[in-house]
Amino acid sequence: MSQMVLGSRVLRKEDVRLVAGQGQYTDDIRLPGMLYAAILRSPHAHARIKQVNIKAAQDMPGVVKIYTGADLQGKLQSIPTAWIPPESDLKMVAHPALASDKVRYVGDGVAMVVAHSRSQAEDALEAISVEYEPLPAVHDQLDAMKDGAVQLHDDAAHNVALHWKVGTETDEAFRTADVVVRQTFRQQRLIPNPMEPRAAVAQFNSATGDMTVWATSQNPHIHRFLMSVVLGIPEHKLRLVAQDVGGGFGSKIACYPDEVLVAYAARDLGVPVKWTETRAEHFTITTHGRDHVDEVELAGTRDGRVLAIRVKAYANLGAYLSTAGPGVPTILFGLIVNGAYDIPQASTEVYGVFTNTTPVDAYRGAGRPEATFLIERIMDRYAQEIGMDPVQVRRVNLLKKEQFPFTNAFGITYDSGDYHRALDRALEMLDYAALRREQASLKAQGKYIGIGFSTYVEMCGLGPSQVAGAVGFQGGLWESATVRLHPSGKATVLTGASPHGQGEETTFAQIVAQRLGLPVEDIDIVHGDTDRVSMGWGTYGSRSTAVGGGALAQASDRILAKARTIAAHMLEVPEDAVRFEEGKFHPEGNATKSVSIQDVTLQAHLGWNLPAGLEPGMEASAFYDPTNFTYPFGTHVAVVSVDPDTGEVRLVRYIAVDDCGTVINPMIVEGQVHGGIVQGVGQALYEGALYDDAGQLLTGSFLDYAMPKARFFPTIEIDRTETPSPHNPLGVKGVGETGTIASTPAVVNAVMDALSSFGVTDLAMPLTPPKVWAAIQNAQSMKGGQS
Amino acid sequence: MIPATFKYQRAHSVDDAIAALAKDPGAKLLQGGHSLLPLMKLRLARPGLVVDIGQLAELRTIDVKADSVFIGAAVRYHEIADHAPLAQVMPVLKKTVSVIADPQVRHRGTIGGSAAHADPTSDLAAVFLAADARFMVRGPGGERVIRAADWYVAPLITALASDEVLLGIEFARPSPDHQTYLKFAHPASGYALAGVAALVSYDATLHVTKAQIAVTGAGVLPFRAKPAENFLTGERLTRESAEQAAQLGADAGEYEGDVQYPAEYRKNLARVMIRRALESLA
Repeated sequence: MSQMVLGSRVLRKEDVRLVAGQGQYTDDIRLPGMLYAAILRSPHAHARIKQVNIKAAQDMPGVVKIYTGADLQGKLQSIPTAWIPPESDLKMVAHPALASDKVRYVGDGVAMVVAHSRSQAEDALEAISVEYEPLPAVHDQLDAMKDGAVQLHDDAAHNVALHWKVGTETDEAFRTADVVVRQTFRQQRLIPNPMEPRAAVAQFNSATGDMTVWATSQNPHIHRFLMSVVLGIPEHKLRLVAQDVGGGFGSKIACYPDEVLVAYAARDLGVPVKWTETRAEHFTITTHGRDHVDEVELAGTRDGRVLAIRVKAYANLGAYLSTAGPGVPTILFGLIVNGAYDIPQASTEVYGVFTNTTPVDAYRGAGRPEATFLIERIMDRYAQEIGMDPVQVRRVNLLKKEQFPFTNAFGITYDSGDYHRALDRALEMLDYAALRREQASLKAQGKYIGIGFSTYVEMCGLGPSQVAGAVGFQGGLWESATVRLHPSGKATVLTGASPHGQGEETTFAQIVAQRLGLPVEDIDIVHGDTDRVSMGWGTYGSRSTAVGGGALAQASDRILAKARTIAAHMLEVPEDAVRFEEGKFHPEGNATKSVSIQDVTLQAHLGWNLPAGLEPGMEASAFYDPTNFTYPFGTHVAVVSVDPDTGEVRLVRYIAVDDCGTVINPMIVEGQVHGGIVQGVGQALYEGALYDDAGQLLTGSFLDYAMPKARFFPTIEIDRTETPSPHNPLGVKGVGETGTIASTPAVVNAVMDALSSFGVTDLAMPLTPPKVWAAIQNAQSMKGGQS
Repeated sequence: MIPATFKYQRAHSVDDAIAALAKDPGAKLLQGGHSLLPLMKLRLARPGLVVDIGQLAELRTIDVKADSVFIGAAVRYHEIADHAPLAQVMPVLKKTVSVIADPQVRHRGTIGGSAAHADPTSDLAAVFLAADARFMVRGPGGERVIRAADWYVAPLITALASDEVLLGIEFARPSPDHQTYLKFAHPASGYALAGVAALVSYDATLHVTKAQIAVTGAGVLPFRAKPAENFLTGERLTRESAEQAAQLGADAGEYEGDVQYPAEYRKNLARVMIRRALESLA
């Protein structure tokens, strides 16, 4: 057993199972007598339901039962939101599992067919006729707030779902500053696309009243809690299982109508019922991300010192409030719009707006990409305005090492950091001066490259439960762990985190292995089952290792303390004379006489010879509540080329220097960084949901919605600095979202740098070839007109 | 993503397939299944009967003859890419099929399936048009030949009658010495936003003796860039002549925009890609 297990590239334990097709995804569940559900979805973005006629469908082959919104009225609670930002006047509008009076977006459920096969259920959907009275639809949040705009919900005037303000006074700074830079940014709507679409299977035992739901969830205990409320099934009778989940990126946080409906039908019919989302459904009903309009103002001096930042954001929340929907554009965004910079005055004002679109919730980064984008973009605009290099302007304003812990203008405290060091390392890898020379010489040949920076910080490792409560999250954010050593010395470890692709079956085993001196392969991590894991809050907000890992460390330490007591007894020496190294206890100064942790564990289970008063057994649990968030940071640099003939942007180089504190497994960290960057670049260059004026999604498949492909990317150049978080037992920070948060503005800044030759200062994402080409054409024709 | 109910029949011969089509006018032929099946899963196509001709040996031959090349309709893309004699006499085919979708698709998709589906952004459409392909078809009344110029009637509609089977595609030999296919792929689908097949012969002083150029993806339909060919013939192939030809060639297309790619942009892309294809041959 090596001391080096923490920090080493242990191969992913879960991969053998997953690669060999032995994983258990929700759609793999097949139960005897299981029926299949399909859901009829509104083709209209906004309409009154006049009549639903299911007669013909009821006679279709294999149909067991059809439910309409009217059938369910009074039988299910509204699908709830779980985040109520304080003093935001949040309108808690009803969200029925099936609509009965009005549909509010394309995809809103209207009826559910349960049949003996999936194809019979789908066939029967076509035989249901619904009479709609179409209403005007609004898909843009600014349009939705206008006087006279169609109202989605009776109790939300101007479609405003929430209005929230935070920060300090900024007027004085803006009145007196040398320079004020103003820019409105659109951060477009994105459609998360994990490999596995959503699915749910429900089984009800009418004799015991026990309900089991297998579902694609990032947070089974939250799902259980919310479903318990909606269905009226007490939590001890409701089991939620999310064994293997094929990615989520935030889209599997929410409690959706679909899993509630499946559970309802399973209870009603007394047989298991399954529903599996199609990819086409996924595009329209699974939560979307981002969709902001941000009015940003920066006040600064001529020599590059930022004095104040002021943000007014309009966030599109979609047709209903999703589980974390209201928290994303407020708490997770508004508190960190000053980024990595020492900005004395800052304020954020947010309007959350209902529109006739798919509900919006967390998408990898959730709020922090939006904040990082606007601060990193406005820093570049400011640099341009005062004629300063974008690196220099960052150097002037980046927090210094000695300022930590640093409390920003919004009152949140950055735990630790050395931002300049990460920037220096990135510049060194880049060879900045040489690249600027190359840029100039290429420009002389009519070739355009651009260099873009993002010196980011983000807030993750959600989070202290007291803060969760204070900011309106309707739950705790601590995490649980149980370490159970079996008589053989092998370990079963339970975690309330719910990894769904992040590799924590490996990294968590490394944490326990390191603490207890056990081989990694002797440790199994159990997650994603509310019957096995007593409580937990799941995986999102880059919290699993920072919070779940903290719980694991504490539980392991409790095991070790007990083991030490027993070892001292076995070695017949005082406890403080016992040393523990590489899985063995030995008396101080005598390495030849020893007992292993496995010996001790066996003795603990046998109970033949334990110290007086000590309980037998070898199991410990911990409930770890962090005292702060963690604040990973770093510098990302994108180098792009822009083809003026086609408008095509190519990523030429990408450098990422990240600091996520202590690293448990560099391979997994790098994988997270790679994936995150690719998703962030997706927003910068490729992705974007588009609706027409009738509220129809125009980008509803992979034919129109451009996900980033491997071939679009150069080798990503990665390095790290390591500044441990001072407040958690492992010194770790989150890394699951940093890439997404950092990369979008780095790439956009790079493209704008390339386009500065044409006098273009801003373009709305995604920076697609036609958009870039048109901007160059316009710039050239204007130039032509002037000459 | 679950197709409507349909019947499946594996044809034992081309004539068997023709008989099946005659009995059921709503029937559709199936080869690699990479165009028809997705449409069926989305219920955008709902044939009552699917007649599978993908396994028919008589449709799976590649025949390189002295004066022509014949490729059976059920020949798969990867078989075209891997066929050395074919690559020697018509290199543009290998170039084209190698940039269609991904390896999985290239091992299922067929040349005939692509031709009959007639997606206006299909890569091969540019080659068929540029190389004056002849589509050999058989129906209840016997066999006939359809010229590439007549094949593409409208998006997803060809001159193939609903009771006919495409047997294969024939190209005359020798084809021009210098050949390429260059595409600007749609970042979402990978289909051509503009794909240009250029087949050019020129003499020792780079004076063009023959030029055959076609564009797929950019226009409403794939089109032959005749004005570009006429201009180039007799000209020296240079950056300037390529640019002029490209301009004329792009003008020959009819463009319609969508929400992401406006008509003006598509036309520009056709021009740029024609020029680049020609430049790459010089």
